[in-house]
Amino acid sequence: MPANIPLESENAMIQTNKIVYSIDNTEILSGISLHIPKGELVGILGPNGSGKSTLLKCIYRVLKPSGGAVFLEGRELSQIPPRESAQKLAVVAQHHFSNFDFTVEEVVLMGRSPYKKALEKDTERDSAIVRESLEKVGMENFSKRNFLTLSGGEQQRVILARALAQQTPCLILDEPTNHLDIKYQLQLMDLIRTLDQTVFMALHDLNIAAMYCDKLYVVKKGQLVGEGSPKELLTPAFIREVYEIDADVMETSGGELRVLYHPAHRRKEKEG
Amino acid sequence: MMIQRICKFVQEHTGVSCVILTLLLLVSLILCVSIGSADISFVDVWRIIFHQLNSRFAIDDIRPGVQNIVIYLRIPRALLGMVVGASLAISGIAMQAFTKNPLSEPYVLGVSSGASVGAVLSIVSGLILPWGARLTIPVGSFCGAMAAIFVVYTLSRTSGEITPMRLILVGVAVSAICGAMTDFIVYTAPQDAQVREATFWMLGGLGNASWEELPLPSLVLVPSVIVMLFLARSLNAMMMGDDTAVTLGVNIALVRKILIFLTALLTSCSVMVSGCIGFIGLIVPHIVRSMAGSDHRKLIPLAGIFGSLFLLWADVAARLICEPAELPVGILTALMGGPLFLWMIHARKYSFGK
Repeated sequence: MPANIPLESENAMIQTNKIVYSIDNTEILSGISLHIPKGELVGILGPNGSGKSTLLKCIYRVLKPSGGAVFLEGRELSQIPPRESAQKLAVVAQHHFSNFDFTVEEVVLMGRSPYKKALEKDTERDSAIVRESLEKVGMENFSKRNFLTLSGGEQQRVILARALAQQTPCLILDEPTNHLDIKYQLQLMDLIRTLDQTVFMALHDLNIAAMYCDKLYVVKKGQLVGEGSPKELLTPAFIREVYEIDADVMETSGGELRVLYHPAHRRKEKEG
Repeated sequence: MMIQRICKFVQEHTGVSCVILTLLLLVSLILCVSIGSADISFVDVWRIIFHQLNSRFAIDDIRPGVQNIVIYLRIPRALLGMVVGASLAISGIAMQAFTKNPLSEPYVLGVSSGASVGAVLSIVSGLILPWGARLTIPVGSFCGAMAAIFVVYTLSRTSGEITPMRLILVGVAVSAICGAMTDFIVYTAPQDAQVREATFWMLGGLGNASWEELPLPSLVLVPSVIVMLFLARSLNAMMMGDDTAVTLGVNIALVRKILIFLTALLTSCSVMVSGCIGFIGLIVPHIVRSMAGSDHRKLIPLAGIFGSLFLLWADVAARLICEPAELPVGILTALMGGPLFLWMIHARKYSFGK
């Protein structure tokens, strides 16, 4: 079983080996193997319902894969106590939902809980970490505000601050730019780029993926359909294959990729 | 303004607030003992207590009848009110963390009525557990509470998540079924069965308090509060969703089991001695949250003390409102809690259906 599967390399932060996840005999993921090297920013792309979130959830332990194994720094995940994996892996999930009043400060402070014994008090250091994390995401003036009264984008940044306060070597984000306007999308990605953490994130926006990621994986219908650097992967033909849309891919003078989409009605006009 | 200041103080100095509230609780205890259809002075109550502690303290001028009222009726009643109030408030918090829904409460979700079915059944059936006759009713009541939680939990889960609407609907149904079962058993029970009147189980009251009823609920309450305090950080994380809790290193499966167990234990002990007193698990945590926020490290001790204070004074009101007759205190808590419950739904602060 998983134990005797050889690890590809020593420098993997996260590695998955043929993960299968099925609900009621329907396979959501059919045998996905990933290799996330330490220190890199790796993105995962794919259409809605392709299994991106499910894959991430298998990695951050909310779902238990029906087959295959996940390795964190070479150790099989199911063998690591939850508290210990929470010291290695912080997560910004897609939905934030709570019925209860917590202040922003309290929410970020929760990021320290993997390091706390029961009944252990918060220290000066914890407050300092919370402050720093909030500063990084530009939310330091909101620390006493009620989390529930914030906008979606603000909540997203607070949750990122919580993940930063966890001080883990690895960060997983599920469509982190979702609720953000373009300024904060870029700001958040710039911030993520400067972290010296390994980052694995699900993304929708091909341009953002192209601008920031070292490596991309693409899933469709639960299968891995592509792997490589943005330049290798993002070609018009491939985008057409995965997303069923027409796009041009251009390179700027600075050597950056830009994906330009063609809306269907324009295409018809041209053809007509 | 004044209220805001108090809230701020409670939030920032929770430890000090707990000490102040505990002192207030002690004063209330003596006050509540002295108030009643037979008026007994505050000073006399103290003297009777001191006499109990040290018999050299003379109280010959106080009539023996009064002494008996204080020692055998009012003091155990007040103490039981405190223990039950705290137990119900804490079990409310446990259920709210477990379901991530601030409307959850043992009475609303049928756990209390489940416990009363268990208790009534074990009385009427005449079964006696081989390893302890005294534990027959507690065990029956605990099993009833567990069964109710299990049903509510299983039926309100859809694809791994508890939806608030389903939770409340299932709770209402379970509560109605268990209530009817209790009534049925009580009404059809042979006269000589030791079932107390149906109103005791359905409305709840502290009228049957005695020293014998005190030890078990107290012995359950103290360790439960300690366990809850140990879990406080995990509970905070759970409030942000089970997924979040997992990523913060909480062993969700274990914490859930502990919460179910504690809720059943606390609720069944309370029901056994005082019937179904409703809504305390809703009212008290709601008030404390609005003062001190949702951090369980503050919420748990504050809610425990508030719960005690609340039921203690509610019981005084129940004794005074239609003197010399006595209202079951459950009527009062329902009169206060029901509207609060409706308001919480109306305010839509709590996202329903989604």
